[in-house]
Amino acid sequence: MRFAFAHKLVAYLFAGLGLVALMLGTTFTPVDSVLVIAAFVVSWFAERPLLDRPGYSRFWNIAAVVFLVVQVVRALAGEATLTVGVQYAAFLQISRLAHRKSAADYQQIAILAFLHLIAGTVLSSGLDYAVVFFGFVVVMPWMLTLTHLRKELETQHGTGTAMLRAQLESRSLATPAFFGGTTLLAVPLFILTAAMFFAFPRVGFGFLSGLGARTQSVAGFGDDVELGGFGTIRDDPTVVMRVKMKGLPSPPPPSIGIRLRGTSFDRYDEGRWSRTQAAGSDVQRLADQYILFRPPKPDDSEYEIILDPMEEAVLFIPDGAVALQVPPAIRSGRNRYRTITLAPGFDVRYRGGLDTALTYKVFVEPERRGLQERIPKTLRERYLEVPDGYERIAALAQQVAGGASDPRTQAMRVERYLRAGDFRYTLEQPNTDGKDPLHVFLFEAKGGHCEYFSTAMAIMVRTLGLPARNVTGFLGADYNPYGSYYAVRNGNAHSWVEVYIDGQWIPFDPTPASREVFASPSGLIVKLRQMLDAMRVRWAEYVVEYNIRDQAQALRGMLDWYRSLRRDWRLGRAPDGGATTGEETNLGPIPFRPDWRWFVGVMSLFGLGVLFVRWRQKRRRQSRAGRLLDPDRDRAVRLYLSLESSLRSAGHARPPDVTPSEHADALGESGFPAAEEVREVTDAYLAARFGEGGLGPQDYVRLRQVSRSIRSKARRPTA
Amino acid sequence: MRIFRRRRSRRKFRLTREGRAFLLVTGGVGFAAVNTANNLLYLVLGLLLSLLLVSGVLSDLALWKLRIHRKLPARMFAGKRSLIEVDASNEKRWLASVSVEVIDEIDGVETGPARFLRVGPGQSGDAAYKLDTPRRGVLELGTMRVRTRYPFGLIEKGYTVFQPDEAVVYPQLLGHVSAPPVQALVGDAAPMHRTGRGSEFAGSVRFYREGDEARDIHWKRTASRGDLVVREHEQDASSLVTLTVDNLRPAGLEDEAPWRERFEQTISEVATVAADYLARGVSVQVQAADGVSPLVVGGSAPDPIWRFLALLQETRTLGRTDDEPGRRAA
Repeated sequence: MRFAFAHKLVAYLFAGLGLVALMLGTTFTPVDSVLVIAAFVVSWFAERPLLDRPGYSRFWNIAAVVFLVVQVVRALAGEATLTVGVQYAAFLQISRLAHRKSAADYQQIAILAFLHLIAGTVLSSGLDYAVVFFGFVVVMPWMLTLTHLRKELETQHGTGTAMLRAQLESRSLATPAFFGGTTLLAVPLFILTAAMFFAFPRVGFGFLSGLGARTQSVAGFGDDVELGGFGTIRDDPTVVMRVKMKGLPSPPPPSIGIRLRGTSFDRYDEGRWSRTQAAGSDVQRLADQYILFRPPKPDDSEYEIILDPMEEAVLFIPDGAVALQVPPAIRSGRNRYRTITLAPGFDVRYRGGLDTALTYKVFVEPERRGLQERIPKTLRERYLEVPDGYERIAALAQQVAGGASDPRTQAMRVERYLRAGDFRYTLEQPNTDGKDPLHVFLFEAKGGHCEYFSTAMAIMVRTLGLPARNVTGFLGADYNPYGSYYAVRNGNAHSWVEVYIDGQWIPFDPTPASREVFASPSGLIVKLRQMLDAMRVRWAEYVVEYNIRDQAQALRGMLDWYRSLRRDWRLGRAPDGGATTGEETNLGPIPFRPDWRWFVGVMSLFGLGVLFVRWRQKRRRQSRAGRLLDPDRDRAVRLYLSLESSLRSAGHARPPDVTPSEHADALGESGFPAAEEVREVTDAYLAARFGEGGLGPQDYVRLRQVSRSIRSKARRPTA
Repeated sequence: MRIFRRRRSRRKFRLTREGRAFLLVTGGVGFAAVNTANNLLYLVLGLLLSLLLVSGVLSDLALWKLRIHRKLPARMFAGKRSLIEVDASNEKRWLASVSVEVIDEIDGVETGPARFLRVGPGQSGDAAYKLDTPRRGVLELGTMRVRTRYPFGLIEKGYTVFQPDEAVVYPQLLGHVSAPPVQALVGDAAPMHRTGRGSEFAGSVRFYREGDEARDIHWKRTASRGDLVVREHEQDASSLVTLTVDNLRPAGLEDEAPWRERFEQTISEVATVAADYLARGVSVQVQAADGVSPLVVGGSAPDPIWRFLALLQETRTLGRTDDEPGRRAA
């Protein structure tokens, strides 16, 4: 590939990744994104001679200033500073791409792309950032290396010269081997990045994090919900939370009918349910546990819920929940516990927003049914309210109840009537045409989705004098084998009824054939979605939410592992040197127990290997050069090197352009204290090296000592 | 057994301008990461530091097993730009050495770098740098600095190699000077058998020297020996010129600069004239106050004469009033 083309391609890849990092999060509108992409593509075609036109550079410089002014004005006018800043950052990159001529321009492109990557850390923390980051790790070495080489070429040949152009058109630099080798750099980069990431101590204060975190918009958990709102999200496969459970059978069932309660609504009017605004009370906290009914017991089931950020700060609770465990956030090395509130209607909410997914545990008493809650006086009437003009519905309720006096029987009969009667489940909205939707549902259409069924039952039992409320949450979850959890989708949103009987709210679900409606999907697309979601969870768990607590835990784990190895090794040695007497690990005796002796042994072997290799290389080098010295000459060389070392220590090193004999003479003339010794050693060296004389081992040892004595003699003060 | 013999200095490194900016950004990202507790910033910080580390390792690898050797040109003249060749031999088996510069230090002054863009594994590359030699004499070359900023231009790593070498810079040749005609000497003053440029092939060959004519190359002998050899010719007539250079500097001169200038001018003139005579087949010898050059027969290369002139130094004299260094032809 031609160098110039390769460099351009890589620069666009790099800049493109940076722009994608900017587009993450909610700061860029779709219109902004389309504009940026279009400009990005158009800039590709900006080449010479267009780039060399005098007005072209001037145009971009003026445009940059004008755009800056416009953005400043917008920011002063009240637009979000982050939005304005991000848009300007994108514009700068486009202007650089449209105006790239020299290595300096490419350097600016690289710097801008990198700044975009840094900005992306504030804009989004999802898996999409992980993909961009991964791309950066691979492309960054290409970009930096090619830019460096271009700069070297420009320094060598000058900018705009024919020689430079020839080099840029050359195919000898940007070869497949070059790209392959540079791509391999991504491996050590990844490993080192990961190691440093996990090792850096987390002591942050938490400012400015997650300014643009995306939240899920799910209808039905706010202050009101319109009849028909859930129908629009029935096919939405977006995962909103994940549920992990212990003690699952193997293999786990592909789907479960878990019910996760979100919020309740007490007032119905003209096709809309709403909640009475009432102040909630803080849930009692013991360390990181929040008591809903009682503290958790060992027999309780544990559900770990990973909840993605939502617009509504609702905590979803399964049936039978008695307590919660919400880990604190770590800020400046201190635990910051969340405030959990419980509002009338048993709405469990958290205070403060979510930057990332919230992981919490729910302790569930398996046999517990219903919610024990005292109805406040202000809400008692509200739970019995029926809108005017519902006499026909009241009559229907009386008819369905069939004269039963037991509230539970009445409620069950109404539930059965809607569930097993002529009514059918459908996502099609009944055509109301100005009529009351509930009347249309009960007497005309006889079909609708869960909200219609729950609304119908709630109103019908209210007409029978039973307090009832509409509850929204999620029903059902599908198993994700890649993450070992059950995924609750947007499409699992559901609506049911709670009826107040004997001091507790009993749930009733009048929607017919819920299991068929919420059948778990399958297919390749589903598998891909599951893999992606599992990666998203792992990304959030191991990267985004990694904190000092996790670090301490990891370090403790490593220490425990090391201690267990040492303990097993010690226990494996009986005092008389016999067989193992101590306890073995649960996994059986560990066959290999490395300790410091092994380490010393391995390093010694390694060191000997290095010495051997270097010796072999030296021999090969010498024989190649034809300078394999006989033993006498080799001793002579070593002797003289020893003398040179002593002279260097004494501050009288031989200059490289002076022969040994000349140096000895010079030292003698200058009055060097050890001049005689220097002369003696030098003469012996010259005779053995170049003359006929030899240098036996004994002479070598003696002269070596003479050479060493030069250091001390040189230090002695002369008289 | 000495295994760790050191022929070169330890590796040194420094941050380039881009590297300093990079380090500044890294510091900023680290500061932001610590303050915001944003794990993604820690990730970016890890990437930046890894880049620096990898950059340092790759720079080392680029210089590893790279042998540098200087090749001086056969002739260097004062006042003329010479091209010094540098040979880089990459002894690595798999890795190329990319973006390497070699800088010679002559009298404490750095020369222009010889750049190697890429030397493949197991290959050699040649590069050259230009050297201006304003004065004649001995040029001592000592250390060569080898450095690279590969791969990212953030860190410059290098080491110094001790490669002592010596070159004799010949006097500047003057274009406007030519030698006057010379009469041939006969009789005892004339050497009987001399080799040099002539018409008859003397029957012997010698190795090619710079300045010999290509038509004198003995191709058969060249093929068999593997080195260029040329035929020797016997001269028909014998001519000998002795050029004299007065290198005695008079004592008592108030300003020695003009004398020195004239002395150098004379050296250049003698060098030019000697070459001219030799080209015409006239044997030449140069005599100075304190020495005499080898006799170079006509037709031979003038290098011995030039070398003698290059190394000719002024000497002091007492009581001499003539301040004109001159040349006389005999």
